Amino acid sequence: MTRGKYQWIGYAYVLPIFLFLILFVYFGIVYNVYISLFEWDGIGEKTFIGLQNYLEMFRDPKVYEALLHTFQFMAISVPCSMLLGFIFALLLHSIRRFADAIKAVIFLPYVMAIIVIGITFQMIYEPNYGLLNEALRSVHLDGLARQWIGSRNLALASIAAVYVYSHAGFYMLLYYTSILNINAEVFEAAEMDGAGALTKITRIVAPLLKSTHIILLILGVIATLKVFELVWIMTGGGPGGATELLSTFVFRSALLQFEQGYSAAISVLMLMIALVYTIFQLKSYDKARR
Amino acid sequence: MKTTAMVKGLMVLILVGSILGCGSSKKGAESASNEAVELDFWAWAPNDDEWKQVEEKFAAKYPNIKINYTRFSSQDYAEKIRVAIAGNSAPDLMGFELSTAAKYVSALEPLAPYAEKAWGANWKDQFKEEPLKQVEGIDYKLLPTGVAVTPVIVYNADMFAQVKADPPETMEQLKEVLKKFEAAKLDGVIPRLGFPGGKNSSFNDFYFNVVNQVAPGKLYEATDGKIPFTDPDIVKATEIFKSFYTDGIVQDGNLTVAFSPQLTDLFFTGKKFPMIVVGAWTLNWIKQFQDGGNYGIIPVPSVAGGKHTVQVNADLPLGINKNSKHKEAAWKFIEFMAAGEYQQIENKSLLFLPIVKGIEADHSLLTSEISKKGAQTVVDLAENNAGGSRFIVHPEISEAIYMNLQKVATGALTPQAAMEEVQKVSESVKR
Repeated sequence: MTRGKYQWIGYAYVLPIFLFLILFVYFGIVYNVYISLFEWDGIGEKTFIGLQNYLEMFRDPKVYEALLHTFQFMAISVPCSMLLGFIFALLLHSIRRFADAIKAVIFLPYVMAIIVIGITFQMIYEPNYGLLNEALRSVHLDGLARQWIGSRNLALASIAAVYVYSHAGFYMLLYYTSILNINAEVFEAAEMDGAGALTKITRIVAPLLKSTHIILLILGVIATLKVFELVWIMTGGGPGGATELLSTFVFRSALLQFEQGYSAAISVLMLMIALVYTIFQLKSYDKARR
Repeated sequence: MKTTAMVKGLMVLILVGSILGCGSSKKGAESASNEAVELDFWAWAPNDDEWKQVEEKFAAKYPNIKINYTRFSSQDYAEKIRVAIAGNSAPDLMGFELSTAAKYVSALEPLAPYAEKAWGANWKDQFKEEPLKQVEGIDYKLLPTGVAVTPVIVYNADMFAQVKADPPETMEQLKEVLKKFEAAKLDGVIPRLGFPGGKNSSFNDFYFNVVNQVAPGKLYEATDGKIPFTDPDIVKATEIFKSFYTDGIVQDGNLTVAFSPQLTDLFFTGKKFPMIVVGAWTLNWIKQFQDGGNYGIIPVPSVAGGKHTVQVNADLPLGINKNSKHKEAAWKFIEFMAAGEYQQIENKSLLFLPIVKGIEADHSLLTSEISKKGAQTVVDLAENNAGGSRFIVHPEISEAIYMNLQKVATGALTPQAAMEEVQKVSESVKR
C-alpha cells in the first residue's frame, strides 16, 4: 500500500471502539437532549413541550441550590485534593526507603470501591457512637463533637473531606511522576544557589508543574461535577437538601419524582458547564505550553 | 494486497456486528400450559426464610412453574424496578410500593379479568376492604398480598425493666421515660427514640401519624387538593413533629439513617436504643432476635390529646409485566400469594398481616408473652385505629413533604414555610 493511498485499514481497526463510543456515549448525549424536549415520566407516553423544561429549570430555585452546592463541593474538593496530592508527592520524592510501600498505601483509597468508603465514613461520622466523635470525647474535646453529615452546615464539607481522602492518592501519583520528570540538575543548581526546601518547592517545582496543575484541575472539576455515589450513600442529598448536587438532583428528578424530561434538561446543563469549562482550561493549557 | 485488506476489514465488521448483536434472547412464545415455565420475580419481600417455604409449596402445587426470585433491599428497590421497566428488562412478576404504583400502570397487565375467572364475580369479598380499595384506583393492575401497619414503637423490654420504666402512652410519658434512660446511663445505650429518618417512606410514616392524630383526614384532603397543606391544623401537626427534634426525643443524625440494615442492626444487634419508631413489619425482626432479648410493641404515643392511630396499607402488591410471555403462569403465582398458601406463611412470618379475611392471627413463633402481646397490639391497631393510608397517591407530594420536613428538622425552614413549599408542589400536580 503506498503512503499516498487512503489507509482505510487503520480506520477499520478503530471502528469498534468508535462504534462503542457512538452507541454508549454520543448517542446517549443526543438522546438525552432529545428527551429534554418532552414531558415524560420515563414509563408512559412522551409529550413534546419544546424548551419548557429549560424555562422551568431556570426558574427553579432547587436547581440553583444544587448548582451552588456543586460549586461549593468543587471549591473544597479539588484544591484540597491537589494540595494534599502535591504534598504527598513531594514527601515521597524526598524519601528513599519504603517509598513504594508508602505510595501504595496512599493510593489504596483511590482503588477501593467508593461505596465501601462511603459506608465506612458514614459510621465514622455517626454522631452518637461514631469513631470521630468518640475520639474527640475521649480526649475531652466533647465541644467539637458534631452531627457531621446530619448537620446542614457541615454535611457538604464532611463529604468533601471523604472525597479528598479517596482521591488524594490519584493526584499524588500524577504529581509524583511529573516531579520525577524534572531534571535533577535544576535541583542541584538551586541548592548551589542556596535555595531552601520551601523556595525549591514554591519557585521551582510548582511553576515547572504548571501543565500538571492545569490537567489535574480539568480532571478534578469534571470528576466532581459527576460525583454521585459518595453523596447518595452517605446522605442521599440530605439532610433537607443540604448536600443535593446537580448529579443527585438529576437522579432524584428522574427516578424518584418521575420527571425524566426535566432531569434530562438538567443533565444537559451539566454537560454545558463541563464543556465550557474544558474549552476554557484547554485554551489556558495551550497558552501555558507556549 | 487489496484483497487481504478487504478481508481484514470484513472480519473487523463481523466482529463488531457480533458484539453489537449479542444479547440473550428473552423468553420465546407463550408455552403450552403444561410445559415447564420459568418466571422472574423481583421484590423486597418475602425474606429468605419465608421464600423457602413459598418455593416449596408453590412447586408442589405447580411443578411445571419455576420462580426465579430476586430479593432487593427495600431501600434500593424503587430505583431498580424503575430502571428495569424503562429499559424494557423488567421481570415477569414485580412488587411495587403503592406510593409510586400509579406511575407504572402502563407497564402492567390488568388483573381483574384473571381474578374474576379464578374466583368469580364477587372475588373482592374475600379480601379486607380498606387495603383492597387502595389498588382500585389503579384498576387492579396490582393485587396486594399483605397488610402493613405503621408506625409503632418497638421497645427493648429488658432495658425498660433495668430503669424501671413503663412503655409510654403519651408524649409527656415518652419524655419522662427518656429522662430515666438518660439518668441511668446504660452502657452504650443512646437515651433517645431511634428513628430511621433517612428514607422518605419511614420518615413520612412518622410525620403522617402525627398529622393523622392532630388533624384526622386532613392530610388526604390536602393531597386531593380540597384543602391547602398550609391548613392551620396541618401546620400545628408539623410543629409538633418538629418538637421531636427540638426536644431531643429522636437521636442525633437520624436524617441519614435507614430502617434496614442500619437501625435494625443498631437496635437488635447493637442494643443501642431503648426503643425505635418503625413499621409493624419489625415483628419479623423480633421473631429473629427474640433469643437475644425481650421486645414489645406499643402504639406511637398520643400527641396533643389525639387518639392512637396507625396507617394501614396494602403491602407487597404484585403485578404482571404486560410484556411477559407467561401471563397465565404468572397469574398462578399471584393467586398463590394473594389468596393461597402464602397467606398462612405470611401470617406466621409476622412481616405483614394477611390480606385475606378470616385468617386468625398466628403468633406461635414468638416465644415471650411481651412479644405476643405486642403482635396482638398490631392486629388490634389495624382493626380499630386505622387513621388512613400509609401512602398518598402523588409521589411528587410525598417527596416534597420528605424534603421540606427534613429542612424543618434541621431548622432551615419553619413549619409554615415548609408547608408553603409542599403546597406549591401540590398545586403543580395534575389531578
